[in-house]
Amino acid sequence: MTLESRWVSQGDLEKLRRREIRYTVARHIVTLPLLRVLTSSEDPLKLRRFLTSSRWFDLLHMDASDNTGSLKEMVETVGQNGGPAAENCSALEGVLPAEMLRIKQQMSNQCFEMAVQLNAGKSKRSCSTSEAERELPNFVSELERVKGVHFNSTLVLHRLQMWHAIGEKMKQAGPDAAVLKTVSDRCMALCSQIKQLQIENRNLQNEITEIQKQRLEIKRLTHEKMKEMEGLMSSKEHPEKYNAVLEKGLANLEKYKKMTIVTQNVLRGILLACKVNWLDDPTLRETVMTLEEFPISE
Amino acid sequence: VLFIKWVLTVFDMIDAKDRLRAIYGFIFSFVTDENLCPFICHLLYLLTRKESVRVFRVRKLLELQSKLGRQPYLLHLLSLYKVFCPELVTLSIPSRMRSGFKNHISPWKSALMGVQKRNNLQVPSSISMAFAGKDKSTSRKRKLNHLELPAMSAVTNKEPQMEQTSRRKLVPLVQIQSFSQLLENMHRIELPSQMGSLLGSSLALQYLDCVQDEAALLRLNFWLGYALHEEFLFCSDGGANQNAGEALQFLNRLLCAQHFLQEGFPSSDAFLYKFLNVWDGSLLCPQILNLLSNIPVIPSSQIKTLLFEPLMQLFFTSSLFFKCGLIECLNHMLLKWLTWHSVYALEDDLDISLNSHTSINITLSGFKDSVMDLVHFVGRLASVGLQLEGCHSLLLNFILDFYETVCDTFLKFGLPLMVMPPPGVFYTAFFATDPVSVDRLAYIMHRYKVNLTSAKSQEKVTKQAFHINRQTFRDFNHYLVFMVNGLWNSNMCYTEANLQLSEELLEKSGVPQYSTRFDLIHHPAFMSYSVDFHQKCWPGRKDMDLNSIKQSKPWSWYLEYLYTQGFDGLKDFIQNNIGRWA
Repeated sequence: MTLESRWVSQGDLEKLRRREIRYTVARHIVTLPLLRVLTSSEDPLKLRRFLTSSRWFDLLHMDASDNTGSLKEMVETVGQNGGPAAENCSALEGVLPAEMLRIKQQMSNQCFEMAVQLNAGKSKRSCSTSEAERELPNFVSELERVKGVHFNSTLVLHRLQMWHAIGEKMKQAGPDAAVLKTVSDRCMALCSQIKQLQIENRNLQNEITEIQKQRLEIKRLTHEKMKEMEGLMSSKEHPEKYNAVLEKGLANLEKYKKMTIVTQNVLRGILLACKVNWLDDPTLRETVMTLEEFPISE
Repeated sequence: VLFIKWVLTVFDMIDAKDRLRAIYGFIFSFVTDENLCPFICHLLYLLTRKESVRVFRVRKLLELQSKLGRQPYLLHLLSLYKVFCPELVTLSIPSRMRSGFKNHISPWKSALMGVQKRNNLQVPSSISMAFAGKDKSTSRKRKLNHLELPAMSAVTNKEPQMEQTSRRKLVPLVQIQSFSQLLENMHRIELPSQMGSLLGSSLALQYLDCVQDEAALLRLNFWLGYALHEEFLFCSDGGANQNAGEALQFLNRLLCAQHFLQEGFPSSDAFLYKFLNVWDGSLLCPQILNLLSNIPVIPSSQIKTLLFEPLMQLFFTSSLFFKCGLIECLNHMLLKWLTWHSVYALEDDLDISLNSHTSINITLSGFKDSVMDLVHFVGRLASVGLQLEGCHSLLLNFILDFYETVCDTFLKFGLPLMVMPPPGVFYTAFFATDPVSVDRLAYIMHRYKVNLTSAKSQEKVTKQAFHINRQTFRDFNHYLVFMVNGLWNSNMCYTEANLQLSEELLEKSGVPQYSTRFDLIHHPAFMSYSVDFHQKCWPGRKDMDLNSIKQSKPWSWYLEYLYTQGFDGLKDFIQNNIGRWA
């Protein structure tokens, strides 16, 4: 307000002041108790209805310059819903700007609280997605069950009626009956054949299953035997008297082997480092080819 | 870089691989070069043998890794080293790694294929049970086809005399011609360089299965996974027609190998899970379904997402024949699971290892859960499938096949689990218009009764922990009563929970005596038989009264007549449940 007072003329300032007063008073007196009533009833629907109703918007956005009379009317009608009358409207015209600002701030706080409550009310009603996901398979199976029942009943009715008609037809001695008879004879012959083949199939399948079981059994036994063999082989021991000689021989072999391996590695390192072209020289090539040959004894 | 790529592309055609191995050390030295590193790692992976793994090499690789970070190609090489010499590599390798090295060379490989096809090279038929030795590799031109199983070749091309220097004489697998030779040299066999060639010969597979060499299995799975992914998931060029024939052959070979071993490969299982999500249901349908049926038992927690969801989508949007094929495939899967259980599960409630290749353990109750999930899934598919296809007899036939397997789980396979068919299947089969289905249903009900009674008596005798859910018994009794009432007592119950047909509705339908309409005389499936019987029994009678068959003598003759038509299921059912020994 102080900023405006510098740029706005005195008359305009008066107009502005009056408008402000009317706004805040109207809101403060009428709507706050109204809102209190509504929010205390905890019915978000009513609240929402009120908020979206045109009255509220009119109240908020009204232009004071043309509607003072209608403001009174509105205030009275709204007030009839539960608020006190607005006779004190005119009495509060002398309120200070600071007071007005304070009331405005209070108003915005209460609007915010309303919005929060509305949202809370919304989420209370709908269930969360995880709950829905948990219940989904039950609903699906229930749906399938009901569909199945319906399908079965339709099937039964259909078969009942159809075969009753066919039976009646076959009982009569007309040409249709003869046609039906030939068809059914053919069906019977085919069915006997099918039955024979099915019995054969069943026997063969049983035999196959038996054979597969036996083969799998053999495989299992083979694995067991292999494990046993490995165990035996690893625990094999040399006879006592050769132990010392064998150990000495092995140690020697190891020593020489290690020497050879080290020399091989060194040679390889040298060749790599000096970038020697060993491909061209046949003797060198032979040597290089044997560098990797020594298997590790470990 | 180009040279190394070229070597990788033509690697399968190189005969003198041992020479490459001789300069392994030199090749290894190039690992430090950043540009060459991935390709070198790939080449080394293909060339590595157990002897090549040395401490200083491992150390070098680890150093590189700390410099470059956990690169996939380094990890692959290290994992192979780890398989050969686990004590040298102490790094923890993630158990599930992406398949293979990056496909730097695939455009080159496909170009090569194109060139060879243009030149019309001979297709080798060298993949046979008795494989010849090295002379084949030099004389015959081979068509490089990464789907073709490579011919077996020896690791070393040197003469056998040179091997006297080494302590162990290794006999290359390629030289083993018969089973007796295999037995003699069992502990001295050296695996070929191309693991894929093992898939072609049963001798090699037998050896692999017996010896359980982890390195070999890892290599084989890697190669298999690579080949499958290359061809099916990433195929970019080459006409679909040309590839289809090769793909078919390859898959057939793979199926033969799996059938021989009686178990699947982990890499083919992983490939199938991925493939199911993108499959359209028609490409190479029989082979894929057969491969599917070789999948080992999947734990219950994963089975839904891995298997059921994609299969459900495929099932409901496919033709009748695919539906039948899928039900058959699931039937075979169940059979294989049950067979495996009956052989391997000797002790109750212990952890049993799934198959020789994987290390997943599954308990008896976990296994039962998986089986139950599978059976319920098929039941659901069956009910809805029958509704969609209007109770087609072919589909019903396959479904009843499945339930023939299910009804005997206790007596045939020793698994203490009984699952009843869902109402969607039972009632559709009962009201079927062809006598074959009704007869089968009777057989299935008879087998259920036998299984349930033996299970119950065993429970009393041995007082074991297993007991069948009461609900199962209740369901069975309900079905049995319904069936007997309908077929025998001429007292069809229309108002039960699954039918819910009220009296008024039945009156409105205009069918007289509706409670007798589904007995053995008037049932749609048996009506032609009863008419025929009537004509044979009373040839002179002008007006046909089917109810006259109900008199005692004609009735027994009628039953006899039905039995001679081959309906043994009906015979078993009536004799055991109704006690009528005609």
